[in-house]
Amino acid sequence: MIAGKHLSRRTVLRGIGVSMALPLLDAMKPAFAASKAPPCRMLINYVPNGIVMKDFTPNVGPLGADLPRTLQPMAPFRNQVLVLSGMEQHWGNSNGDGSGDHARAAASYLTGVHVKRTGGADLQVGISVDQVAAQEIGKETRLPSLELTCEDGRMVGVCDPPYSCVYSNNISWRSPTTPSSPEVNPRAVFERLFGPGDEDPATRAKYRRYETSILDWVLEDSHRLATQLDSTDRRKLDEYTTAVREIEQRIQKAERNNAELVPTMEKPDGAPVNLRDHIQLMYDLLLVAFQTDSTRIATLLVGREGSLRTYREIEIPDSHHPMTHHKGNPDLIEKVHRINRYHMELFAEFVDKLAKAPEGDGCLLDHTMILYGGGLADGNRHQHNELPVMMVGGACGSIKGGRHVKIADPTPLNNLYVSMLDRVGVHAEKLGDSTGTVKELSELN
Amino acid sequence: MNSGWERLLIGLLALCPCWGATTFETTVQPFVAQYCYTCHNQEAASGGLNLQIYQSSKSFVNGRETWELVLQKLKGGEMPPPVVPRPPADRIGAVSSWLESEFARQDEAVPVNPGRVTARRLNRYEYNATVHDLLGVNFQPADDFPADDFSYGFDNIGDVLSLSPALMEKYITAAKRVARAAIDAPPEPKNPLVDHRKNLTERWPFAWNRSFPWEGDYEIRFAVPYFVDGRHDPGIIFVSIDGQPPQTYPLATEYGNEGRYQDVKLHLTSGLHELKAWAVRDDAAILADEWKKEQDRQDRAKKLLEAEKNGTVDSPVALPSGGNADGKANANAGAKANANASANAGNANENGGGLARRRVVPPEVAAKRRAELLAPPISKEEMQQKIAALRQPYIESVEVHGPYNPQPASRPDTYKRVFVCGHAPGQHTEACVRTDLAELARRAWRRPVTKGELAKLVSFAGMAHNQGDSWDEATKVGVMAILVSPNFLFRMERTPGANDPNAVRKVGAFELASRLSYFLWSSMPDQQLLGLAEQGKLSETAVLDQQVDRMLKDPKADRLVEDFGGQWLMVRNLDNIKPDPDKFPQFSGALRAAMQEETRLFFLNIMREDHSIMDFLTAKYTFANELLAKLYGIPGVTGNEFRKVDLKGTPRVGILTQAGILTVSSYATRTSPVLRGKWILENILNAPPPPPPANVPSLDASAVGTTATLREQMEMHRANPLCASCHAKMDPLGFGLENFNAIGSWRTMDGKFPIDSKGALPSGKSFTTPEQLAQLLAEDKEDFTQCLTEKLMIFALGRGLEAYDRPAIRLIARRVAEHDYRFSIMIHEIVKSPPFQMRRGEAAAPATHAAVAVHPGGLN
Repeated sequence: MIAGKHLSRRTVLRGIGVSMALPLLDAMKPAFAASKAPPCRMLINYVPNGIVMKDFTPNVGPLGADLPRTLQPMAPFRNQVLVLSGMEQHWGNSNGDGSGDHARAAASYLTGVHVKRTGGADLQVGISVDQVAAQEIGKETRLPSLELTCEDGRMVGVCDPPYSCVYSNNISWRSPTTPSSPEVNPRAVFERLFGPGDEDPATRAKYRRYETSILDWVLEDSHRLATQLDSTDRRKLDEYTTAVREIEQRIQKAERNNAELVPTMEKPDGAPVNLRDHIQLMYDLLLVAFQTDSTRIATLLVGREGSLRTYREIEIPDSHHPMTHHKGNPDLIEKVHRINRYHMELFAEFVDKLAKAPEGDGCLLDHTMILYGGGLADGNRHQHNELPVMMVGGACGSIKGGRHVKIADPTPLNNLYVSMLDRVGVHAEKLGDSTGTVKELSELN
Repeated sequence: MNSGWERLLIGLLALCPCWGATTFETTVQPFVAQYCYTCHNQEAASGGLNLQIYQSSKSFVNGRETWELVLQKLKGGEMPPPVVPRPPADRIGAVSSWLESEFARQDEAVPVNPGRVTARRLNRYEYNATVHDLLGVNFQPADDFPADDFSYGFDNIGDVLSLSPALMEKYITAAKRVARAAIDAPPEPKNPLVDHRKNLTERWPFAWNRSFPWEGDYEIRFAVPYFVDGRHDPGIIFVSIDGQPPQTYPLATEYGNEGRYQDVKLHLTSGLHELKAWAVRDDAAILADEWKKEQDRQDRAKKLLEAEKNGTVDSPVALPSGGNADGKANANAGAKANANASANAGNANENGGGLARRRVVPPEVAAKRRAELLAPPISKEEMQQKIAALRQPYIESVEVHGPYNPQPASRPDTYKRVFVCGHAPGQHTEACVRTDLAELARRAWRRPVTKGELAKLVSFAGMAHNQGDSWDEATKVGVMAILVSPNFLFRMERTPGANDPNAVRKVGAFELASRLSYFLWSSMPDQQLLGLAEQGKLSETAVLDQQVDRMLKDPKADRLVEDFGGQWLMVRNLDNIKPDPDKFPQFSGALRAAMQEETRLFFLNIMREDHSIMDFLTAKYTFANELLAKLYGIPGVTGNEFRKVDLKGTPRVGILTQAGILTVSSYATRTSPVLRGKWILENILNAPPPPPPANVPSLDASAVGTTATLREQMEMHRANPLCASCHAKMDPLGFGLENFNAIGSWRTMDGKFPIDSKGALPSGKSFTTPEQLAQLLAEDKEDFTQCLTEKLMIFALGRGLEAYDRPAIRLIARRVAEHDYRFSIMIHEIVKSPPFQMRRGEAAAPATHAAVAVHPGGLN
């Protein structure tokens, strides 16, 4: 059962663990008083194994109603769509490290650094842009950031040798050695946002106090423990203490606000069997998370890099990754396009909901900045430049949409991140291999 | 004999290479000069290898890694390559054995390096198992945790298991839930509580272990799908509660709104109950039904023929519509078409007379119906065969309604595990808290608790008590603290004093107990193990041996098969793969479960009966139920239970031909010899192929098409030398298994081409059947023994293996060979090996890996 008060007038469509988020009624808005301007949200929507570029890239210049096939579902929102071409992620290339393009593509995508070639023990990348933002502005929300995925990375075996599976399964890194692993179960995400819902408020408050005491103590205890461990073990224990400190802060924040968050959707039963349901549910959760200002930074890994998923619901029984190595076969290219298009359609449904969610003077889409893309362009030859980059949303008026701008090729993708960070209120001189910013986001071109 | 002869004799003997100093200079260097320098010399240095620099024994000592590779290639027959004339076998043998004994000698001279393991947090599987063993709660809290990252093929590698705030949050919630589940009385039931499992895929039988916190009357509804293959035939539902002999109920065939189901009313005590149900067709009833319809049809056919003869047929309406039981018109009725004929009351009498219906039937339809009516009679045998081919019904949903008239609930059994003081609820004192938490912490932290730690734990309970909680309630907070502490979540091994990279010490008694229990049980040490650690007895070999034997016999050792086996053999992936339902319609949830069960039981059998590990490759038996046996084409296996099945006379042998393994090494729509070859190299020989080179040139698209077999298409792998170096090893292995399709069923044709499963290993040994392939792989027992040892070591230690582990691996493999290759010997030797028993200080530089080829699996 859901914690908090139910809205008796609520109607919910219930499928197999699927539900629709309702537009947040004005009277219920917990986050923004009329005087405060809504903040800018950042979402990175990652699609794996590349995109068939000829069906994605529109003509340079203003976007007409007639868009390339893959982009077509975004036509109703084209005024808030900015396509950028000419960007590359240099560190996805082998640079002497041999094979492993998928692992590198995912790991370098949001970090822009050299990915250490290892099968296990000594992972090393960098901090991803979403975590840089979370570390700065995350304190203002209950959850500093939200990492979601629609593909369970639980397959045993090697993913993209000689790189560890950790690289292919994560795009968000809170430190050069620790990934911020995405959550695949919608119910777990719901519970993170709204609590497990099995306690009354008095008990919950009581246990929060107990938890704070316990966490204080384990932090103290860890200091003592650390003296008896060697330095590698101490680093492991550090992960624990860092996590504990963050949880403590969250508890304190929750106590201060004492907000009874009213969920606007039914708790999902679990991870849906159907991919469409799963993706839609994750988008619903993102919508709700933004609306309730539970977080302002999120990443969604629609599939892990190197995804072997089959798409039977659109009659593609073949595995995704092998098909992207089409070697020019037009049948396979067509199938890959259909998968790209499928992802885009589901994304467009989400954008539609953002556009229909009123907020402040406009809608939620106006105050959101979404990067839709992936670490690969042509999956057949593992292309890391001329990447698909689509910015969606108004970003609180700081991005001018409705056009396709070609930037000097190659421009580091991290330049875009510096600009994005700016728009969420984080000033960074440099991130990864950035050499500047992307002025084209707002300038007329 | 005079001295001349003696001198000659001595002279001759001195020349004999087996006498006196067999050295690098006399044995190896001449061989290499003759057969290897052609390519591996200073100028050409083929493959980056120049062997000319090794001219003397001294230089040999520094090239250990290189010479390990040379040995491997020589023994595997890969080198010298086929283009060069093959050296005589005895010379190869001499060089190989010299190298091996020299390596062994070097290993003995070097001080033991047991390596070190980074502190390991419990992974999901271990967390669930530990909580279950600790408190006995019957839910799996870790199923909600994010997936563990894995490395070297396993998900318990310390360095790679990270701890994010998201996971920490889950730990805290889980601790709270576990504490409550263990201690609290169940909450008031909402009356009537409805719980359900819905949209079940076929499972045979359906089984649900459900906790019933309240004693009372329950009503349970078992439903089958409304239509199965477009029919709803009569059937029987079997329902068995708690393993009792099943009750049977007839399956309705009437048209209803809610599908077909059976409501079972019963009274259940509180606790865990198993609800089992399955449904079968009632073939006898279906046969009776269909037979009657068939007789009917014959009658009508006879009447029609007579009528036609007499000219009394008045089509089109003279069609008695022989209906089904559900009253729908049956298309079997037929007559000649005549659009103008009017109804003849006399002929329309079989529907109960009355006003004949006027229906205008198009000529083609009427002709068709007539043909159907007059079709040759079907014999009873044919009908039985048709019925036998129908799909069985299955349980689609189960709903539990209740409790009605609930009895007051008592505390769960787990209560006693926490409150060892033995008092009843409400009668605890502060002293109880001290006793109970001390014991729980000792078990959960896998070591005795210090006074300071205990005082702190008790203080948490005291804090809660001061807030008004009863002592029971207050103890929960203590339990939470125990489960959230790093002492529970991490397996840490202390390094006393300052770090010394050369210091080697035995791991502590409790640390060893933890290593043992997490290796064999994926969970915490039990009381006996903890007790022995406390008494310092675990360091005695006899005690250790006895404990390993006991632990292997314990039911908890099933987890070794599930956790280690599921990852080593990759059958854990069966949960996630989805074979194309169009190409493989017989793949179902039940078949998936059967595949997993087969491999599990097979491995379990080897462990429990302590077979030779070579059985993995050469066993001519397996475990199957009816569904799996049908897939394999093995007759005479009926029923759902698994039993040992003889494979004589079938092409199957060992794990290589088990459906689970064949399925996880295929794509969704077809087999892949490369994937299968890779699977064998990785998991049987621990010689994983290096990753493909960057910028693999595309295969010429015109040569690849649907006009050639997969084998022919892949010949390109071997034609291009860039590809051949790896694919010459991989592809033949996979092709040897091509007769098994992507879900492990035997086939002789691939589309319109017959399958050719001949092949040869790089050593030149050839095979024509999968059995021969398995025999060849098993021939050099050393390879597989070493592979399994390495895999078990990685799992047991929680780290990848390094060059300095080689001596230990070699010793273990040798001992296993000396004892008939028995599985338990391998476990015993691993437990007694230096890497398992000891620990080294940390290297001065951050953890580096020895300069060996960095393969995720092995020591090449």
